[in-house]
Amino acid sequence: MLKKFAEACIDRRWLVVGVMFVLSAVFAALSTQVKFKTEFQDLLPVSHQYITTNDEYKETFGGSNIVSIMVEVEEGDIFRHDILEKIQSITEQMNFVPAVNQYQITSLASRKLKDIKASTFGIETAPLMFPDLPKNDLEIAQLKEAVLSNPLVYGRYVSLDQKSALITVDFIDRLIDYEKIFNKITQVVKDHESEGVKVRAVGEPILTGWIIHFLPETLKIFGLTISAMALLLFVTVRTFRGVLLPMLAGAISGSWALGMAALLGVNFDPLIIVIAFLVSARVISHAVQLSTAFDDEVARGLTAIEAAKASMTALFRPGMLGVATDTAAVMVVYIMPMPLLKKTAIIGSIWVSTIALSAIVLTPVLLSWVKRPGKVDFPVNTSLVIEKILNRCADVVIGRGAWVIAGLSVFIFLTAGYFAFNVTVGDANPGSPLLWPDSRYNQDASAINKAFQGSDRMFVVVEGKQGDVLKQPKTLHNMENFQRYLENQPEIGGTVSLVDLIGPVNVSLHEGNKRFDEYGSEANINGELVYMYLQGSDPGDIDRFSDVNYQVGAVTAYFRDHKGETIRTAISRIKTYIADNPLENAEYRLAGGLIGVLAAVNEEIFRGQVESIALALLVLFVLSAIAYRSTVAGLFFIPLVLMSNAVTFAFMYWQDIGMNINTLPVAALGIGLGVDYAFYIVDGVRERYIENRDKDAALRGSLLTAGRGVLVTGTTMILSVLLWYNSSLRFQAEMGLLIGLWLAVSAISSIFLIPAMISIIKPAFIFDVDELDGNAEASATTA
Amino acid sequence: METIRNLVTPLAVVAALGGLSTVEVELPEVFVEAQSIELRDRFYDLVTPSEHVVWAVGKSGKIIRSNDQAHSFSVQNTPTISHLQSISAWDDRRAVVVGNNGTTLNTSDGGVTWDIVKAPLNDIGNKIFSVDIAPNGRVWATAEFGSVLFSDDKGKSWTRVGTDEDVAWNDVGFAADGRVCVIGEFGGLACSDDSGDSWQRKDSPVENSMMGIAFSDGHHGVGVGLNGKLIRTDDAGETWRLVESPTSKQFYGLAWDDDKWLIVGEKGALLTYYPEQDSWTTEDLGPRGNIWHTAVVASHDRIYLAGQKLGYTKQGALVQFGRAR
Repeated sequence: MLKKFAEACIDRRWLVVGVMFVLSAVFAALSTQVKFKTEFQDLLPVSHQYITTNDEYKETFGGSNIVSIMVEVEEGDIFRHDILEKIQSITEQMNFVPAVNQYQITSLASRKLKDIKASTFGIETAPLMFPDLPKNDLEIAQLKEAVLSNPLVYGRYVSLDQKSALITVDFIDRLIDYEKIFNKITQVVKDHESEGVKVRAVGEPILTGWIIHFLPETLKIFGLTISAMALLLFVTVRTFRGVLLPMLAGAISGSWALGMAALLGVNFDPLIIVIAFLVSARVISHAVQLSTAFDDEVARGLTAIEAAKASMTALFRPGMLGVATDTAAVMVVYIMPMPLLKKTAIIGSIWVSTIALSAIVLTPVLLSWVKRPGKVDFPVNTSLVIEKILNRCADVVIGRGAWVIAGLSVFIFLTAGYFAFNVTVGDANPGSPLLWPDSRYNQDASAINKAFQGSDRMFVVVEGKQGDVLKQPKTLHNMENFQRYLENQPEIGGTVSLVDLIGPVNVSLHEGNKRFDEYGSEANINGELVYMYLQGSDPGDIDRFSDVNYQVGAVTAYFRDHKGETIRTAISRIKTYIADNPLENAEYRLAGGLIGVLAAVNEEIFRGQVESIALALLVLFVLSAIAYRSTVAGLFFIPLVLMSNAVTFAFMYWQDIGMNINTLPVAALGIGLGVDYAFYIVDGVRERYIENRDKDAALRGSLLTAGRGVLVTGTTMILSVLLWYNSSLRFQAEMGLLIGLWLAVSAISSIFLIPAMISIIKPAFIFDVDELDGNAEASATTA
Repeated sequence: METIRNLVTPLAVVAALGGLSTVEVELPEVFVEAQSIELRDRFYDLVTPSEHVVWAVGKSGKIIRSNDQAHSFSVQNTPTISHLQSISAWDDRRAVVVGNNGTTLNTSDGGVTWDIVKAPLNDIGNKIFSVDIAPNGRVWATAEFGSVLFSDDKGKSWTRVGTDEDVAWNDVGFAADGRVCVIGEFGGLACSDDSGDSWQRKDSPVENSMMGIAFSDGHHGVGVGLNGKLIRTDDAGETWRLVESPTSKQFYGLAWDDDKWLIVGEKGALLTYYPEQDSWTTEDLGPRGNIWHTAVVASHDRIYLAGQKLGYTKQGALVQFGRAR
């Protein structure tokens, strides 16, 4: 049947090529519509309870897209006219940033930060520096006095060393265009920097902006990688067609996938470009296998058409098995609840499945037109070197060497497996793992976190069953204890809630006596204290602490980093506290802000990790068992996948690469990808064995043919992927390394471990002649 | 048999992998050690009954103690969540503490156990600000609504005396011949020469609320208060005069140290007043010290400070206990 299919394709090659090129042209045209952008909502596991809380309250308590801007002086303190003017100007400029939530701009120069004073008429609250700047030195000194005695400002919006001031601004999530926000804010930052004055900005919109900023560079590296790959392929396969056809297959698959993405309305996150590369690598790898098989058939004396038919027939099963396994493995990612991962799964699986047509069908069809099949274009005979290497590999795996390889593999697997379990879920380091530690963004983040309590926030909602719950001393006591408990975690720089607002009013009411820095013993006293604070203020000024009915409030914690362990520790401790200290007539709800959102993402990633590995293995088992009609075949390839995963996870642990929303797609795709090398080797052995009934010769023969494809593509990919290491984005660089490693482990395992396993186990699905007779006939006739 | 095996094996593998996919892994919990001095703590007072022991009290019923000259502190169990305002100790084992809601605590075992005794005060205006031990061993406390309390059994029972007026007495000091003086709101000053049975108002040179009073000997004493006010007496509290101060920052606490008064207050205020020379010096605690303190104690070459942070200064260097923010 396979033979008939191959013959039909090649006999109607004009039709096949015509249809393929028309479709590709259509998809290529469509693919120009694909948007390269990050949709923040795509990163969130929508149904997770923390995300529900975040969505419900982010507009009042501050969402996950808060930007913090720090104005920092090198000499003296910020209480200088020129610096205060800069703070005011930046604050005003923030009103013009697209998608800004104008009620959530907070700084010394906003109306939200107030001075609380006792006077003959009671308590007076007035904005510290709004709308006007201090006019003279005396007013500046008064402002300084007011700031230093206000715990809601000093340490939170003015650093304890008085050298820095903070401006925080939040956005309306659904309106966010990261590029626009980034451009506007970086312009404001640039405009306000001067000698001795640094302005720094951090927050998710800025981070994403930096990634978009590096998009042209990323595309340049992508182009360079492709060129390097082409060059290396040319050196190793020695023909132009050996380079052009795999590249063409890659381009066709890419256009189909991107065209489909445009049709389905899926945007392309700049960070998953690396995945495009990973899939393209698979396309090219399959095409090279076919190209190499074609060369082998030509070497046996067949014409181009015969060789094309023979190579297509012979490689159809391992090729399709590889495609089916990879497609299914990519689909497994769909179980993750984050829309970005679902989209990656859909587009990724479409992309991988196109290999069936772009490489497995189209490559042999195009090869059938080759006029002088034996001609080489690269003068140096690199094939001899490759052959020598592969012969040495065969020497090792045939005979006793197989046991050494098996033993070594078990040792590597166990060692790597031990470390693999320690891979961090979430970010492994402070700062953003997407950028290098010395990047402007990470330097800014580090400076801000040093000067202030921490720039990443999490809010925990206190949701009352009735109004005025938040005024109750019992509620306030519970909340204050909760804050005290949270602050025990060293990575939490501080917390804030309604409790912190009431105390200072009470102090003012008692002539500034700090012994009254406390909430009242009755709800009505607390109500009056808050009322006094709110006198003369605008509606909405209390929003970040409580709603107007005092039914729903928030405890906000400021984190110095968002490492996976920091978040996990905080969440687990919060759950313990809530269980041990239930509120009366109210309950705590986890958790919003950037940290709350990341907690949800990390929990889902962690939950899905074992599930996706198990499902990928299940897919691999079922498909290979069906393809070879053997349970042993189903199990045979599992060690390879386990090995490449163990080594990669161990590498991630060693290099401190955390498993987060960005690395997960690469890691998840890698679970299933790479096993196709092994399919080609196994099928090669099987085919050779049917021909000559000599196990050792079959092994050597397969290594010299299928192994050549593995070695050539493996080496080419690994070397080109290392170019990614020059990326300004640390994430791209690390993922480049990771993919390189994945490919290396898969390639090395296919050349050593799989043949060694064949040599030791001598599985029936390869060597049982009676079983294979039916297939043998078909293969023998093509040969 | 072979057929059964052929059927069972793949099903078993599928079931095993399917089962594995439902496994939920749990990571071990990371233990965060509770800190004896927390970010949110406010310590209103401290005592150093001996060279090595430091005892501090503060918000939410918290008492901490160090037995190694403040190298390390441990939290003591207390039967209250009321804010504790002041502590006095007879020695390393016996001490008394007062605070909000008429709360008094006493210990005779170094704080291993604290007994709570409710002071005889009204339900409203029952904040006790200060507790001090008189030279004769009687312990005195001052509170809101003109209340003054004393105890002759080391805090196990209290007697309310005082002026029955709407004034908060913030502190108590002891002059010669058993005279007890209290100082408080609106510059208020009153002294009793008969163990609290009767109180005589003294003329005050200030209208600002006064937060602390102490005597260096039977005749000489000072009072400090809001807006940088310092008043002094040289006749055992009979007459008081205002001393010009170099600052208008609020003063919250004071202590006598050999030949000088140490005064603390808001915004990092730490001043020294030399009564002999009638002169002042101002210490700069640096940006980290730019906070408020309510109590100061000079002990064994150190000046201990309690307030927004707990710490000490030694030869000009400020050491703060607990985690820096």
